[in-house]
Amino acid sequence: MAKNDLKVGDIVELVDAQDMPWPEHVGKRGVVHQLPTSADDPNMIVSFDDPDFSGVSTRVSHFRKVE
Amino acid sequence: MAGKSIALTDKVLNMFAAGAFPAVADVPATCFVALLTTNPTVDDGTSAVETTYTGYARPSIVSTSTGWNAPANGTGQTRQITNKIALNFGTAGSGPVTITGFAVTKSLATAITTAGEILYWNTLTGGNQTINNTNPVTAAIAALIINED
Repeated sequence: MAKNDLKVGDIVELVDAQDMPWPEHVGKRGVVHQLPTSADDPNMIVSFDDPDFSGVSTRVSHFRKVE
Repeated sequence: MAGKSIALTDKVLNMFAAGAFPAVADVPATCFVALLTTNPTVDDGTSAVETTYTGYARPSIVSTSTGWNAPANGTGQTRQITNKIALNFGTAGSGPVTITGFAVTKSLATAITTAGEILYWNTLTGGNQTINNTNPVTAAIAALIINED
């Protein structure tokens, strides 16, 4: 997914992407909290409504936008 | 010694001499976390070496209650905060490398030895960790511990 397809507040889902380090959480939906901070930053922050997995900072490619 | 950088320590101490306490601007709205293969010998980042394995990048962490848990009791008389979000440093495309510590930094890519770049650093609980090629490299929620006494 391209970085410019997203904005803060979008709903995204963790997908079974290459190098996704939390396979047990694939399918979990969250809210984009922060986009990559620059063109060189590969990560974005997503918050989840889950006390045991409340958020991640990980690759943009690990998410798909929920339309 | 693991803990605050000299730059941040001086800002705290200056509440006595200069009547100022670290301001919000002293801690960026977004910080980053670096993995070290050599820990600093001085808290200004001297001699620190950051890992460079293929696929590595510092993950970001927002300086709010989204990024960090509330302060809590640590070991002994210390208080501590820990990360509230899981962090992905990138699956290793090379290796092995041995990680000795981590540092909370102000930016995504400024050299780790640059004065003021490190805010805090610490060793790894449980000792050094070896990363081999193809290993996913993450920090679990509450794995990063920042102590204050």
